[in-house]
Amino acid sequence: MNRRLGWLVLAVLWLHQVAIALLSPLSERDWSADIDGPAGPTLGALYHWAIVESRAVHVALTPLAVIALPLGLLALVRGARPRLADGDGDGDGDGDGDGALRLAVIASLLWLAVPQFGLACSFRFAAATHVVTLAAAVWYVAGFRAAAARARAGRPPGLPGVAGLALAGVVAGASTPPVATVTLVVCAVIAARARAAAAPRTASWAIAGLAGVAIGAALAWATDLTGLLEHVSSPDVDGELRAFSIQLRVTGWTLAGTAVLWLLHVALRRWRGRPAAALDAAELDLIGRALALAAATAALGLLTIDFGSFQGIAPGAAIATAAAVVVVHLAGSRRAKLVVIVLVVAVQAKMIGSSLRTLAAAHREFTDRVAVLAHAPRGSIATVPPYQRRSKDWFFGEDFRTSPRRDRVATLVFGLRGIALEHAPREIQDVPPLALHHEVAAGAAGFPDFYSADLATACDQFAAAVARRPGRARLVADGLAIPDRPGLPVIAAWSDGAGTARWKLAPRRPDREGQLRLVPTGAGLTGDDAAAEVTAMWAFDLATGAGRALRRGDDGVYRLRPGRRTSAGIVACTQDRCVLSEVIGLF
Amino acid sequence: MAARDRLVFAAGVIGLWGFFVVMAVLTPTQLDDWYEVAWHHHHGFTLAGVLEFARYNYFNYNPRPGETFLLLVNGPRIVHVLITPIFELALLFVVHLLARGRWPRADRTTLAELAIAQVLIWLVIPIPGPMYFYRPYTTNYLFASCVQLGLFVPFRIELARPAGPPRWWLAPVLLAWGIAGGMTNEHTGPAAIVVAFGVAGLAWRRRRLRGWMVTAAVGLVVGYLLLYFAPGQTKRYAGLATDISPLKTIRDHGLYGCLRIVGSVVTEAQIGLAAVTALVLIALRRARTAGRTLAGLDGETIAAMVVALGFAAMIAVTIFASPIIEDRVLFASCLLVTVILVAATTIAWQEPRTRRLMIGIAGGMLAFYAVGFVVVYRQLAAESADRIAALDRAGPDDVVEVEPTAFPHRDLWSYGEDLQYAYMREFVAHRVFGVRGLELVPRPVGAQPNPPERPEVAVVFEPPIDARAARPGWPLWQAIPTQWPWVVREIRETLAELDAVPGHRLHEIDVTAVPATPGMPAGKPVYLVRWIDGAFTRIDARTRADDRGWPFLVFAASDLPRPPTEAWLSACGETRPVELQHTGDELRIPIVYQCSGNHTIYVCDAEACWLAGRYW
Repeated sequence: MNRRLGWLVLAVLWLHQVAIALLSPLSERDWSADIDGPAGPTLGALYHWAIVESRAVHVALTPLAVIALPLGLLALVRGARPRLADGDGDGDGDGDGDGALRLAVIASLLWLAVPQFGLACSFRFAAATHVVTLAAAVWYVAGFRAAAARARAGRPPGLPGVAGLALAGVVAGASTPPVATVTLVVCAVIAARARAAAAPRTASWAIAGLAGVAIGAALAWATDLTGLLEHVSSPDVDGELRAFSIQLRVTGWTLAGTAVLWLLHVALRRWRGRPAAALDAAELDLIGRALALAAATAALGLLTIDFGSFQGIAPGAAIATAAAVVVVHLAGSRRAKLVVIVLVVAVQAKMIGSSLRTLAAAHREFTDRVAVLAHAPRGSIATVPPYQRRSKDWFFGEDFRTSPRRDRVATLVFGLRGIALEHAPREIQDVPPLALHHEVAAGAAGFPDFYSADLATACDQFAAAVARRPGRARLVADGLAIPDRPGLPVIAAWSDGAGTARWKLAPRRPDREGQLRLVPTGAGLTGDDAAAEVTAMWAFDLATGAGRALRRGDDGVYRLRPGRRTSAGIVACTQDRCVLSEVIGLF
Repeated sequence: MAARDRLVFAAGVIGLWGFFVVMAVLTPTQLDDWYEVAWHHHHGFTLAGVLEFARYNYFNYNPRPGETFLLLVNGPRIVHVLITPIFELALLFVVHLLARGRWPRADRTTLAELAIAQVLIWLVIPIPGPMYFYRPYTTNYLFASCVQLGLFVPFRIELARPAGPPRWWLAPVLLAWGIAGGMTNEHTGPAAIVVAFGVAGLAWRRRRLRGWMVTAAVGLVVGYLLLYFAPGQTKRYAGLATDISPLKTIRDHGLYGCLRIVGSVVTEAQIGLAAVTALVLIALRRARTAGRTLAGLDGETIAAMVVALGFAAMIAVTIFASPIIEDRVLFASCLLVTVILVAATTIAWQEPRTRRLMIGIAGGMLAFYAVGFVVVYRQLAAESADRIAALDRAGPDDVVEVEPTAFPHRDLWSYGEDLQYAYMREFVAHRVFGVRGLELVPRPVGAQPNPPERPEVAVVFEPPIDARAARPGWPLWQAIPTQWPWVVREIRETLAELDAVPGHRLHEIDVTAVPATPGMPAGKPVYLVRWIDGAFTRIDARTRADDRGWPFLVFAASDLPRPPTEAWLSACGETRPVELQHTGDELRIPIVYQCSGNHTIYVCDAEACWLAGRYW
């Protein structure tokens, strides 16, 4: 392929991503970034916040960042800067490697091998947190390797280069924990080999680069250290392995497809009496490294908190690269190359067609939904239709499934009490019929005129009001009466003048019988005796106000047997007070 | 050295056999095992009895020979201990033979190859624990694959070595073996036939065709026809196979559903595939570093791999037409993928360091699986023994309470909690131990609550007679299953005996249900199952989901003798009308939860009501 064709491939990939960025609606965790700002100091979190706040930034930068991923992978495959006209890197245009074809094959295999790669491109959170950061890490490794090559040639990077490596290392390292860790290890191996091959002069650039990546990796791991420790200390190995298997299903299919392709190729050639050309040492190395990287990122992904969510992108990209090496090898003859080109065009055409079709409809529905919410009366419960699509290949789909996100968005973005979905699908939680009012010792000015249907958001509203007007106040749940303590109000939050307090339920896995284990935590409930302080727990059906006492298990933890389609208000009582600690949507 | 090699080989194989023996001793009695246990409670363990069971199954239930093996291995424990480990070990040798194309040699190398093959089998097949140690799956799938794939061993050996004598004596042996292999499984039979004729054709092209190849293929055809057209096929799963045509099933699965079935095989195999690919790459890389070139796979091995791939793919395609898509039906395909992977390890095997690595990994994995299985099944055996002891101790009016299992989920280790199903608790309590009830305490959240309806049965003979007095031993007088498939099954099993009253002809059996809540239309009987002059009537409702994910019960309008007019839901202490939606030939009733606990749906026509289904 000539250079012009190479640029055409690049242009098509870029335009497709521009269209995706233009059409992609805000979904799910995008709302959290909109409400709460960046989730952490990592590249992904900051970039996510930026593209949620500015669609222009999203359209301008995200497509470039996304197509930087296959280009970066091409750079790693070539071991040099990607060239679109002449893939073998010697600049002679002899055509023994074809950069444009390789790029197109890698880009196509990314669609096939990476779990939900379409969604990862269109969903701002995934694009920022996983795709962009992976592209940054890939390019960093490519740059680090180039620096090593220069050092081996006796021309190590100068001071600006060293500083650049350090700074870029922090940025690239501050990605997702698995990618950051693998980046650090890969760079360390490159540095060690460069040192072994060339010299003590490798030290400064390598140390600077590695230090930068290490700092970034530390940031990545530390973003949610508490959650990570909780996750690691009580592992659910079976669950994780199941998630692993499901998440990497398409990756496994791609690996199997490539192996089958190779087997059939070898069998066919032998059938015709012409032995297949073996993979050369460089190709074997590439495949081996890609498999190792896939295994490492997948295994590290198991350690992270939300493995099920896009952690398969890095392993998938590695497998796509390995598969691309095999596919390009098989495209040795003119006829085989033609077949590969046809397949690549078919894959890209299918992806472009389905993405535009899906996202155009999603964009329309999102715009209509936002218009309805923006025009709904303040403090009301607005009703919108649910999103229609169920496939998650391109669009996250219904992100207003649960009250904690949906009704938080309703209150904090649109000034509403809640959002109801008309003719809601089964997996949608109803708006909890939660009624709250505040009782303030000295004047209620500045307190909200309504409270969110989401308990946590309502408590935040209350806390914000207390912060503005400090004093004694409490947020009381209406319609809940503890049978053996008549007259005692059930409160959701309270202030004694020194800040707001509330209780929550600590996350616990269900017990062996599938019952939910309820452990209240919060002001006055910390410490070893916290569990003993709770004298009773109740589950109220918020729709009817009917309450039932919960039973305490042998381990001292109260249990709730999940029911069907109810909003259960969980109330924990001590000698002093009864607190609405959580609203659990059972649906 | 050779003698020592043989000794090590023998010790290794005996060790593996010993492990399988231990597992056979520990295997608990679960789910479908109980039907066989019930049979043994009422019949002696004799050859005639077993043959009668096989005959009954062939004509009325599961016609596969595996079901008869299930009866055998649920008899005296020693039978299970003697039979099952041999099949489990034989399967390993079959996989090894198909992959390597030669008889195993009694040496350490072969022992290591076998260890690698066993680990790959467990890595690749779905739910290895239940497939090996849950007897109904073991006999219906593992035994079956062993017999069917074993048929191809002579093909593989014959084509992998220089031409030898025709071995005519093999022809009748492989004819019989082919018949047995053809009868093993509905899904794998067609693919086996195609492969047998295909390989025979290949041999003919090479002028290596043998008579026994033809008789084996013909045997497969005969066996498969015997299985496919067995009368029991139309009756098992309460006639599911006749209610749903294969084409309709494929249409219901859709293109993506069918692709997902193929993908499921790959998903099961992906860890084994990744491991073997990585080992091959490591071997190639190391060999190049050492300046050596590894020999590629020989033509016969590549051909065997391609045939195994095609075989696996064809089996996966036949699953498209299956109304029951479960991990167990992927077993045969996955086993063939294992054959491919074992064959591929021959490349890695050539490089010494990779070989050592591979053997080390296989040893570690083998130990992991073996220890895991023993730990899990020791606990399950103890639980099973406790449950059986409690049931044995109980009197006829007792409701026995047992603890839920420590391994409630179906996973790679075990089947999970079989008593989560109300019908299973009923069956074990009433038909096996003769007690009033069996409960899991505390009841797991996902477990089915006991159906609250009170079933009743009436039997009408012509000329009329007091049926209870005429047939006092009829099991439904003692206890009536609360779910229609088991009512149908028990009536069918006992029909011959019930209808053998001299001078009278059995005319009608009405199994009715008294709803748990008041409010049903007055004056209409509520039927669970009716049997009139040889024909059953019942509502066979199944759960599906609409486009928005809302579940509904669906059944064919033709299930009922008259057009249904209304539907009722009995739940949460009350009875309320529910919407009955007519969509073409089907009737739908939305599944709506009013509270936690049992919900029962009734459908009524002008003269009667029918219990259409339950959900919880």
